[in-house]
Amino acid sequence: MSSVADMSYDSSRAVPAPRRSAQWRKVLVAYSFIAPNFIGFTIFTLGPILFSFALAFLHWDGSNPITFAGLDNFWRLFSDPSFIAALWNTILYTVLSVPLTLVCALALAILLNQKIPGRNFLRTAMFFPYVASLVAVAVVWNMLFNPEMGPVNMVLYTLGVDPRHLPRWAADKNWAMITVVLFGAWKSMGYYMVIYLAGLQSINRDLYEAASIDGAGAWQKFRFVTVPQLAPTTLFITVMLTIQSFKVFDQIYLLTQGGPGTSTLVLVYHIYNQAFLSWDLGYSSMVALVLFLIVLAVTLIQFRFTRRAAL
Amino acid sequence: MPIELHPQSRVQASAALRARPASSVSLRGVRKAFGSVLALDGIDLDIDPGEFIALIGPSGCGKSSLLRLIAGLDEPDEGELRIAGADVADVPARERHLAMVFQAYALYPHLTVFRNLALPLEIAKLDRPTVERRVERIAEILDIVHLLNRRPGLLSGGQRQRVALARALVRESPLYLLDEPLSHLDAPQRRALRARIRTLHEELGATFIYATHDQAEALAMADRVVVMNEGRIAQVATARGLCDHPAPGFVAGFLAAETMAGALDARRAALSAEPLQ
Amino acid sequence: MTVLAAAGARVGTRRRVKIGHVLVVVTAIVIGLVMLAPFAWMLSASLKLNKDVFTFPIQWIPTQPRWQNYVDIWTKIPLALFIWNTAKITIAVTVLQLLTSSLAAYAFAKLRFPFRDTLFLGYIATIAMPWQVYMVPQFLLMRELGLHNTQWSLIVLQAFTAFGVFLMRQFYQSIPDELCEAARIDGMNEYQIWWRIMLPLSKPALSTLTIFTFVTTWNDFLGPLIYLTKTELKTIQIGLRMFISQYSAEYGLIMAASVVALIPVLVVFLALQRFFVEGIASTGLKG
Repeated sequence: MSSVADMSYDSSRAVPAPRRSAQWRKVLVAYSFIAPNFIGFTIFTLGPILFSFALAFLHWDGSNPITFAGLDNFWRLFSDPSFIAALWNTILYTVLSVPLTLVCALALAILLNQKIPGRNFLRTAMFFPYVASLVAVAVVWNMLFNPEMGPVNMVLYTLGVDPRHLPRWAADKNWAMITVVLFGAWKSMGYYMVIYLAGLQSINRDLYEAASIDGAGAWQKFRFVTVPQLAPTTLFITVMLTIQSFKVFDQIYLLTQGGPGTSTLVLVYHIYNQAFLSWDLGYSSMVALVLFLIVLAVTLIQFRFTRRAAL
Repeated sequence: MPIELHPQSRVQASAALRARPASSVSLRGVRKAFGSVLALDGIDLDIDPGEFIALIGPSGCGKSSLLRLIAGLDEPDEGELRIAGADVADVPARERHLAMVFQAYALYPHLTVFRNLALPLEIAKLDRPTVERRVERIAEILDIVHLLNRRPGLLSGGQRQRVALARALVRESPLYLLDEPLSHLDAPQRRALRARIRTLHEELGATFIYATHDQAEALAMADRVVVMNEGRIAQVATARGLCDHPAPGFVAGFLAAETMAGALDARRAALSAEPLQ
Repeated sequence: MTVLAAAGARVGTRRRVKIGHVLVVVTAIVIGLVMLAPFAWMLSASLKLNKDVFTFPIQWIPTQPRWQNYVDIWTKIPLALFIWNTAKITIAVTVLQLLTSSLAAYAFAKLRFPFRDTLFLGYIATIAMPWQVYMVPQFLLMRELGLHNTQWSLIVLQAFTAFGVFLMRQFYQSIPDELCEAARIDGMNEYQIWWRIMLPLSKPALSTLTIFTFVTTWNDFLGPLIYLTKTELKTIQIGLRMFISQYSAEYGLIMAASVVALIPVLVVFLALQRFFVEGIASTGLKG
């Protein structure tokens, strides 16, 4: 046994002093890892977010002094026809495009989950619109749906539709929203198809076999196995799609510029107009705040709804 | 008798740790809790330089926690830990100049076996010829030369374990911590490797701390055995001492259960004419 | 059931299944064609004279392909400059994003330090927040910093997202802690561990993040719209837009420019699509 006589120690001392400097060094190293990203993040994202919430209660046009607005901007929302139109249109867009995209994505996923030749190519083909440059596809879309010359109307005409009843698509205030919704669905269904594919592939095969033994046909298997098993995925996609729909801007700007009239004016477009065309920064931030709260509320409701359904 | 050092600074402590061919290890009043679980409850232990110490005990007794503390992967909540006489409270794991064999191998999956073995030596800034010489030597001793260009993913469990062992041994450090290094091998492989580890211990002259749940293995290989239970040391003795005078209560019961299995094992080995060690 | 009857039943179902199978294949091909039709039309229109673009029935393969379109677009608008601008911004954002995200994610995943979870929560809280909500203050900030109307504004806005940190941290958590511990015992400091162990092992996640960032930045429209008003700074998205409004009747040229705008993304996408798909799929599963 080695001698320990010459070792002095004090077991009542919980943490020896030298250890603290080692701790500090560890902490510093850790912070040095997160610093580059976190500093940039705070300055360029977190900061503006907080400032945005503040701006909603101020009057500012970017150059003149800031004045306190209290809830003025908020009350103004109710008497602003553009805001009301934007709110309505955004809700309409969401209500139309979320189910459409979801159903198409699911149908595509089921279709492309089968063992068919060229499956990988087809999956890529479905997915490609999502990554394609928005400006390029928007201009093609506008051309395709050109009321006078576009192939879509030509095809409809060939199928026997009376030229006077051919939809004027983006030029018609009743059809403009539909045009935009169709575009959005076409562009993004590939993305959600991928998510559904992953969900489908994670369903336990045994469940289908058990259903077969129980005598279920294809439709029943879909209703009683696939759909319930995909419920978490469906919820996730619904939430994502809803958030995306409330944020829609780019395609509206490119396809219809919010028109004709205000038939496709959406909330973000209204924010854009107010901020960068009218320089009414306080008011636009209020619209933005309202947008955020709506998105938050809808998301929470969706979560609550499915948790209750799951119970 | 080893000279005890009282270095003033971390740099000196680190130098002390590097300079010796074998380190002593000493713990006083060491406690460690993980959340609400008390893994180590007041450990006092002295290990001489160059000793081969085995830690045995039922799972959850604190063997691995103790090794991790000595390695510097975790910090003790209370108590003092000295390696080669130096207080290592301030010394991070990478400066403790010890080597560890992990139970889960912890081999770098994206590197070949050769690179796995060479990496610690490169970090220590050894020159290329030395690195190659040492890697090849240890590969021969552990019979993994034919695996040097493979990735760990392509190796069997037993091969991976030998590589993990090699990775520690290639460093020629004064202190080795081995956490159940042979647990995933079958009986004949275990027996063969036990002998080689013991030979290496004699050659290197370093301190070995060896955790195992295989009692026969511990008794066969170690100079002294530390029996642990529920975060405490139940008894420290030589193999002989443990068998002749087991502490009453836990140790006696623990050894009795294991010795039966060990005895049967010995009988079986004798009958198949295979060397036990 | 006798063996014969069972065999007969099996043959019968097999034939029925065959028909269903064929139906599925046909439907899939039709849908695939419909999805790709706009691109095919775009390609064929890009090789036509303006007056021929809208001829109906659609002439998918033009009898006299007008390759001149692809020459003209480079001179009519500074297309090359736009592509270069977009490439600059996209590459800068991607590199910064990869670097800073993986550094930060390593600390969040493998290191212990005070406020770790609180800070990470800060990241998560912003993921659901639409950028449009705070784009106005961002713009004001950029103006204050004098970055407005420079490409740096776009780079800096998109290089430090929560998404990157979130993705990388998720992946790093799946790497066993023992690897880092073995590396520490081998004598590596944390930076060496990150560089030699974590980074090489995280190639799948890095690839996913690369393609996400690449595509998002390349296709970004609203950002450049707000921040880049000088023509020579414009990216391909708004440059193309400008072109379209200037030459609104030059359908052939517009289509040719659009095709060119699509190619880089197509190339990157085809090269890394596996990671893209896996990345999306895994977010869905964990969501």
